[in-house]
Amino acid sequence: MSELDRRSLLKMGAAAIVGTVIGNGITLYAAPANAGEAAAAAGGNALEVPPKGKARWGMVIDNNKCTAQCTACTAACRAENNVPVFGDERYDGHWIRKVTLTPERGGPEKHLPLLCNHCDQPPCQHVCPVAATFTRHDGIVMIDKHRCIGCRYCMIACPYKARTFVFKETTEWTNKDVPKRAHGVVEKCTFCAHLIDQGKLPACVEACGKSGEAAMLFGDLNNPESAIVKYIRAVATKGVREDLGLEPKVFYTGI
Amino acid sequence: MNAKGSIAIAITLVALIAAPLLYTAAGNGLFTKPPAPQLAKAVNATECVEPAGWMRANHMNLLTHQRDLIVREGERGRKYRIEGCATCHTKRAEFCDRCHSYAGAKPECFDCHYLP
Repeated sequence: MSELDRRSLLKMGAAAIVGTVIGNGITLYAAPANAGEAAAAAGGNALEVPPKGKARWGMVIDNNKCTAQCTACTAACRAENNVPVFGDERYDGHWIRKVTLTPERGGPEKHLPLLCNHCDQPPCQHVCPVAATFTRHDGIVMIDKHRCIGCRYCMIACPYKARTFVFKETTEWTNKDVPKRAHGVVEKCTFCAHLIDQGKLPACVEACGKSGEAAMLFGDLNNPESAIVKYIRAVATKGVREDLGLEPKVFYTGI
Repeated sequence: MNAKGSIAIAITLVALIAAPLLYTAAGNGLFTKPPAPQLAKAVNATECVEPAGWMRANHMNLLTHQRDLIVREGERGRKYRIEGCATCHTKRAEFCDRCHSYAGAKPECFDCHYLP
C-alpha cells in the first residue's frame, strides 16, 4: 500500500465512521472511531491499565484491512521478544504468524495474523503437568519458563498452533530488556505482558497502527467504555474455531 | 611370618600404590587452597540492596522468590530483580561468573536474561 493510501486510511481511522468493504458492494459501517484506534493510528501507544484483577485484555483484528504482503506485526513481535529466525523452519519460533485461508468454495484468499488467543478455557493450561502455563489476573495465558520442562503437551492441546518449542537458542538480542528462551522450553505470545504492565500497547498492535494497516485493536474487554468493547458491540466479530468452546479473546472481522 | 613383618609389608604396599596418586594430586594443586576470586567493584552505588555478606549467601533465594511474583503476578519494578543486579555489577564475567566458577555453581539465569 502506498504512502498516500496509508495516510488516507489513517484519516479514516480518525474519522467518525469507519467503513469496510466486506464483499461485492457490501460495506460494513463500524462503530464510531474511538480513542484506542485513533491513538494507534496517531502512533501513540498509551494503554489505560485498570487496577490488578479488573482487566481482561482482548484483541480485535480487522481482516478486511490486513493484507498479504504486510509483515509489520510479525517483524515487530520478533524484534520486541527476541523471537529468532534461523532460516530453518524446524527451528524458527512463531509468536504471531500470517496464515492464508483459501475458501473451499472459491473466492478470494484471506490473510490473517494468528497468535495465541489467550482463551478463557485454555486447553494448554489444563494439560500442563507442572503448572507452568497459567492465566494471569488480567486473563493473559502465560508460560512460566522457569517451571516448563518442555514436554510439549500444550503444543498438542493448542488448536491454534500458537506455541513453538525452543529447539535452538538464539544468540542475538534484539531487545535486551526481554529475556530470550533457553533450549528445552515452549514459547508463545504473551500479549507483551511486560509492555502492558508499563501501560503500553503490545508491539504488534503498535506496529500495525504505525507502519501496518491499522487493523488491530487492543483493549480491556471488562470495561464497557473501552474502544474494543464498543467495536465488538457494533461489528460482527468471530473467533477462530469458536466451536471448540475455548472462548478465545482474539476476535476477527471479515473471516 | 610375625605380625610386625606383615604390617611392614602392608605399609610398603600402601605407600607404593599411593605415591603416584599423591604426586599427581600435588602437581594439580589439590593440596593448596585456590586463591579467592577477584571480583570487580560495583559501580553506581556504594551499598547493595542488602548487606554484602548476606547477599553473598542468599542472593539466589531472593531471585527465585521474586521471579515468581514478577512472572505470575506481574508485579514489576520490585526491589530485588535480576535486572537490578546489572545496574551496579556491570560486568558479569568479572563478578558473577568468577564466584560461580570458584564455588562450582552453575546457575541458568543467564541462559535467558541479559546481563552484560
